[in-house]
Amino acid sequence: MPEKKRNAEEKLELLSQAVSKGWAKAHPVPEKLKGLVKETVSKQLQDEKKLTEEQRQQRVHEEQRKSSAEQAQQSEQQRRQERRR
Amino acid sequence: MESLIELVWKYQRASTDEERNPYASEIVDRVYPRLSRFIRSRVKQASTDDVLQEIFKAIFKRMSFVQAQTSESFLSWVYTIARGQVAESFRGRKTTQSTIADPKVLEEALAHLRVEGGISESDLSDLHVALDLLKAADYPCLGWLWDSYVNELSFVIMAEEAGIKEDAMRKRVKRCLELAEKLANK
Repeated sequence: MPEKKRNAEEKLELLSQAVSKGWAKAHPVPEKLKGLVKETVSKQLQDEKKLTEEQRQQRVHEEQRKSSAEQAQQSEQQRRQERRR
Repeated sequence: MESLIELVWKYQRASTDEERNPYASEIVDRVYPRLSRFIRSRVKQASTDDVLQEIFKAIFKRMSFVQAQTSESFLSWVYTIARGQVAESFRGRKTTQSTIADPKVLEEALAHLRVEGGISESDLSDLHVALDLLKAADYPCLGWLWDSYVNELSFVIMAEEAGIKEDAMRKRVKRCLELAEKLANK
């Protein structure tokens, strides 16, 4: 079968796939990080067990607010940086 | 194979360590490779491990309360946390945050594939052309092309960071690609 002729975008997509594959092999998840996640999951579960359903719902709302605020702040920061460049 | 968002929902429904840990581990396996690449292009190499640890700690502290409906919106939440931690690592320093396009990242990743013989000659030649395209690009274009093609960030996530619409970001990347192609062919 003849080799496929790729345009520039397709060549970059090929690069993207190759990097993704190669990077995962070159950088496996460190054991230290796995341990840290396990520890965080366990501690978090203990804390969550103490929450009432109402407190839990409150945390869900807080997370939504926090995440939206963080995103807005980051966008503003980025726009300021772009204006400075 | 379960999608990322299905793993997140199962994690959220689980009520014991034994139930949660396998989902947590699978989520880390799926998110770590792209997130580590993203962080490597945002902070100095020496700090990447520390920043990544803080990011994953924050993700799992908040994981039970996030209400994502799709894998994409979950990833968007993850990158918001990641960018916050990157900003935190820069706090107090007079440095401008930008994308660090380090060719070593590409060489390192491609070397692993070459060792395994996973690339054909024609693919290798196309990969070199793609590398030349990136080398021909300049900032800010290089940063956007890098985020799109090396860091595999979606246009939605890139647009959120830039505070613009998804379609505007798509057009930016397209224009940058055309410009890089012209420069590489000069």
